[in-house]
Amino acid sequence: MTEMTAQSASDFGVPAWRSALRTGPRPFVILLAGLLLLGVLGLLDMMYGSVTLSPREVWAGLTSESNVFAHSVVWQIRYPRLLDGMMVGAALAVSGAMLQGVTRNPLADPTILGVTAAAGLASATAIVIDPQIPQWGITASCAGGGIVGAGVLFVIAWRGQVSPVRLALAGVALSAFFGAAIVGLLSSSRTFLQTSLGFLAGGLYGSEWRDFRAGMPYLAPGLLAALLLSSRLNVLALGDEVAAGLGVLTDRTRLFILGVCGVLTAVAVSIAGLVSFVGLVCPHLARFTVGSDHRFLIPASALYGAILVTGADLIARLVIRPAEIPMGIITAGIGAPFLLYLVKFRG
Amino acid sequence: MKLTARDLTMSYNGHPVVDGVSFTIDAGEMVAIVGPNGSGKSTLLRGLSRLLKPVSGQVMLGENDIREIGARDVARILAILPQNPDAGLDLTVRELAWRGRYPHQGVLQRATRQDYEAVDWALSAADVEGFAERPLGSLSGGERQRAWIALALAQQPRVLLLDEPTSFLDIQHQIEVMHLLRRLNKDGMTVVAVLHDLQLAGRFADRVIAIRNGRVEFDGVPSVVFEPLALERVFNIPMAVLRDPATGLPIPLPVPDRRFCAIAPDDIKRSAAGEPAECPQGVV
Amino acid sequence: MLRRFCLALSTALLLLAVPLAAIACGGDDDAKPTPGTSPTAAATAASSPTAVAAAYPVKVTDLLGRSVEIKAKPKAIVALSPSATEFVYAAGGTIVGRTSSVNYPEAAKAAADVGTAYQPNPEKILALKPDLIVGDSIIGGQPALRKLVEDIGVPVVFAGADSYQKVIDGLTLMGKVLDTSNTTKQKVADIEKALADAKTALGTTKVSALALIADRDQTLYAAKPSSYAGDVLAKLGITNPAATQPDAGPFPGYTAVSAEKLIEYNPDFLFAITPAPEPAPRLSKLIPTIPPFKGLKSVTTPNHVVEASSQLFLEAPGPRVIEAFKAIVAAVTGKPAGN
Repeated sequence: MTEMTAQSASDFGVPAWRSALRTGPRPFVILLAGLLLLGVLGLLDMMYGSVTLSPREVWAGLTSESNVFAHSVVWQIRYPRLLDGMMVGAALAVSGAMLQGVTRNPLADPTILGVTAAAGLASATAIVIDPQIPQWGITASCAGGGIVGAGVLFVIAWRGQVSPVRLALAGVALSAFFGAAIVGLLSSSRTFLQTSLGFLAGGLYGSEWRDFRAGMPYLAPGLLAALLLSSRLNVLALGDEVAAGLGVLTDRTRLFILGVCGVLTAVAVSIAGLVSFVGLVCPHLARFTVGSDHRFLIPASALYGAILVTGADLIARLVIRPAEIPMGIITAGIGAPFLLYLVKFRG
Repeated sequence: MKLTARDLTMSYNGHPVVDGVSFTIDAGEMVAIVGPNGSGKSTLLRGLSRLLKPVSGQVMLGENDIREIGARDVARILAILPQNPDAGLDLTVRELAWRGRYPHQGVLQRATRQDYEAVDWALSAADVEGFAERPLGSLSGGERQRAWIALALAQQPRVLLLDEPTSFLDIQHQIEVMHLLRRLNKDGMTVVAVLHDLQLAGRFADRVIAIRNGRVEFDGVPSVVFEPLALERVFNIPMAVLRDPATGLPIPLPVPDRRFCAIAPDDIKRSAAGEPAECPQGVV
Repeated sequence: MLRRFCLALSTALLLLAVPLAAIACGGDDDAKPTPGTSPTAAATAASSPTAVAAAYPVKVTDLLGRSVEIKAKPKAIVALSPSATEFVYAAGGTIVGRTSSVNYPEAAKAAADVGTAYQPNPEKILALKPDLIVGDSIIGGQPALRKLVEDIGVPVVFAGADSYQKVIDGLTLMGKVLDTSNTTKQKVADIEKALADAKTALGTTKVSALALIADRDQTLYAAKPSSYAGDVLAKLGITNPAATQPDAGPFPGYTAVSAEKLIEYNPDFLFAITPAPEPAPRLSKLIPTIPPFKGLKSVTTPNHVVEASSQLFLEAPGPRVIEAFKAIVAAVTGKPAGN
């Protein structure tokens, strides 16, 4: 296992206090606290819904089949939905963190830059072509759409080299374009009449184990790639010239980062449709609590994304039970005011 | 490590900006590149550091063409500090310096003892240890510039390229930075700096290369090449060269030029007709 | 740092889930867990060889072509649409759970609400401990929804109707499922008689009519024979000028009708369906006010633009097709529906 800071420092005779000076214990504390919060939210998520289970029943449902009802509810409905939600949140938040780094723009996220819409368009097209398409097919077409969207973004923004400003502008235009295409496709396709609202607003209704299994092969490598790209992102943040001077191939790195974002976003879209604001809000919160070193920023963003989506889904399922509000409405309800706050107070 | 430009031609948006420039910088030299705005000196520096691709010609680092060495490998030998870098205000000096270890780090980004030692050395060599934990935003211009130099030093380069490192600093900090560069040079670092201030060039550089319209106008030791007619050719303004009594080093100065007195329309007409303008009393 | 982080992560994951990795690889929801809520889950044919010719277990083919085995007479049924509900009641059954738009028959209202027809809540359904779910083959036929309902783990039959024939088939299916084939055979006979009576009442005069819906943007759509409303009209022998048009728009089996086309068709009757509940204005009241339509035959002749019940013609295709026939006959002949 890789060892960093503390371990290697003392191994090599550098006193531990020096390593503490470098990174500080604070990020770890925050990450741990976040994990605990996620655990609590996860438990609440499995307790509450249209029927309420006690923690004991949740445990019984998770570990045995003795309480058949609890087992069915927990194992078949709530637990996979919880895991799917965490995947969606982590994927969107990490994607947002990377996009903000690569465009050097605090207002970047996969939705604003059109990557969500590209993935959504791909999956909507796939479903219209073959309504019987299995979940892994949906995830694969989302991934294709996400990568193509990221690629188009790169190509449009490229003129000798890719500037962060051009990326941001191209992204806004693409987002509008793909978004309109999705709405057009959905409103003319009868298959989607009633379910399109859920897709457009984003929600975890009906998410199951197959979503988890279809998404993991993309999420795990994507998150790993994001972690490995951390130091490159750190260097890119210093400006293109400094980064190039440090040996980073800026355009190639940008393209790769965009591709990884496309894949991560695709995971989220294939499970939950077009969820917005998670990728925007969580990286900022992460930056505020653990700083801008991407080696902490990326895990923290993933954590906060999982927390946000889990919390939003819980609210979405409770407010008008037994019916549910699309979760995307809740994330927008939290994210939009936060965005306004950002614009007003943090410049 | 020698840095050689061979018949280097670079263009920017289709216009040639550097035109057939050749020179060799030996290891351990301290070279200033001077020239008027738009002469191509910044572009030249970027070409030397692999940031920009030349249209024709070569840049050699040691015996190898710089474009054939990987970007990361180049970054381990050669560091460039661009003009007016910006990293946001929250980064501390130490964190900034750590980013300079990137070319030396492996895929898993482990921090090794070498990294620690390099950063510590960079911070002390750039004389920023005193405020290493402070964020960049809280520093003065000179301190911030030295922090960026610490970043470049953390790469443990043998060649250091700087693009106008003193342009936005007050005179105290200008001198501070130049002293730092000289100290590094005395310790063996090859230093190449684009400077806009001729006096700093004359005082601190072993060698000055002057660029005009993308071509080398003169190249040599300041006391020899800082010569009024040559300077006037490069900068299009009459210059005189004084000698510092203490060191004997040349101090180039612009001299009064009646050309600049032609402001009123009549004067401009007369000046265009070849008649020198009349300068009002006391204006030099 | 990375190691410490991994330690923290794995601890937290242990808090959250016992064998997380095991589920990820092994958790197989496609092999449906046993419908543990069925009281006779373990019962085999051997345990009911008694009295009446063993009605259960019975194998039925539902309206989606699925072959389903009903092990015992279902006692707790959840119906996932108005049509499904009406099928159950027409076959003599009762329900314990229904979707939110169900309001007929009166007795069904007392059942628990399990969500909307397009987003039924699996938890709520499970909480009712049903032994049979009747899904809607039209609505629930969409792959995602169908999979969701099937995965709940309770035996499911899909019954819904977008045509007269499917109403018959649905009733027959429910009769088999509930072992009330005598009841349903009678119901089917009633429906067939109602159709014959209606055709007689309409006589030999050729009448043309369109069944219209408007969407949110006031675009009009006309039913084709491939829709329920269109099929009802077709069965009665009423000419549908829009019958050969291609499908267009968000309603399955409906085609978009522009103002010019409506004027060109100029049918004898317009049956207007308004899905929105009161106090939204009724489409039948709106059409005569639209200037291009003021010259239509159906508008100038009194009582030829008729409000057709959205429940009967759109939302709840099913055994109440009898009422649908009566309503059309009453409108066309001018005589109130006889018995």
